[in-house]
Amino acid sequence: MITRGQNFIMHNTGIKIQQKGIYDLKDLLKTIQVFFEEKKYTFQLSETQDKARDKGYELIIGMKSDRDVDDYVRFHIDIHMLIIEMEKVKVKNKNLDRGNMDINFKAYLYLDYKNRWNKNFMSRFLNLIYNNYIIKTKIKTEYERNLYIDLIDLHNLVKERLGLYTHYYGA
Amino acid sequence: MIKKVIVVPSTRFRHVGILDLTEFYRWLKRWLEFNGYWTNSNEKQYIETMLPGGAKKIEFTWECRKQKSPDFTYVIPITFGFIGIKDVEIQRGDKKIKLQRGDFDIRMRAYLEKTGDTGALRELYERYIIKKRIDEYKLDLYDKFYKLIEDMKEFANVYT
Repeated sequence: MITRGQNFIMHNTGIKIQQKGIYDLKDLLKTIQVFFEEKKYTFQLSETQDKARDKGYELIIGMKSDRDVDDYVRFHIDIHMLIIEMEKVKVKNKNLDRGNMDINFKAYLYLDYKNRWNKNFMSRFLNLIYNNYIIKTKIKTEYERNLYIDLIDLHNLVKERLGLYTHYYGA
Repeated sequence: MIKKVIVVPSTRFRHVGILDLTEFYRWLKRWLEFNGYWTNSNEKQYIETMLPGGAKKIEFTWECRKQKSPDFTYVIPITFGFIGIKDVEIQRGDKKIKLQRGDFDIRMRAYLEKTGDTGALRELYERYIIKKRIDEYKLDLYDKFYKLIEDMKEFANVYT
């Protein structure tokens, strides 16, 4: 059943990348921001937390992005990064970072973001019919598919930046 | 009638560790003054509580405003929640300096405040005649907001 509001295109725990090693965090964050800007998403750095621990730093970074596809559908991609035991290292005169990184990606469609179908019980009921019978195919084959492609592109880009194995979907 | 256009939703900046709180307060005030966001009525509340063990809890809220045109104002509300603040002495060179250790949590957002008439004519005016100008205001406020966050990160010398 497709309802108005948040509709996750995969399990709502999202997809994850975990890495333990050396990377350039500033470059990674910049890459993500540029990716969203190129894809015409509105980017927001929603959270930055840093805690000095006995062993290195603990870092939490939250990013939110959204794109209005049309008057009815909005794409959302949220990223949550948790890095523990983080410290600066110098490799070949370059300042890099070392730590255990866990990146979580979540993507969902937000239907009726302008809240036009939330006026009364009747309009909400009509919206349910609209979502599940009239534009169901469009939601499944166009919106969800396009958002999934954006998400996988981003996922692959991050993996590429981290020097991880990438798997390309489709032709 | 006042209408708000959200430019940046709630954003959190948290630093757990050491910070020169007095200098941070002064620096932030100066930054806002320099960028035209500071008036003495900015501080909406200030609460300081002593916690058991000698630590302090400080909460205060600033509503930073900058009038851009007669109808549009940039607004950046900032809520500070500093918990478990304790003085620590640190050796820097041959000097001992007093800094503060604790959990520094700052939440901020940015919006464009519209005042003036409402109605169909005004809506048409905003949608077709001054749309570009409103977009410029939004972009300007967005840039300024993230510049502030970057400068705060630099001041606090946080990891990223």
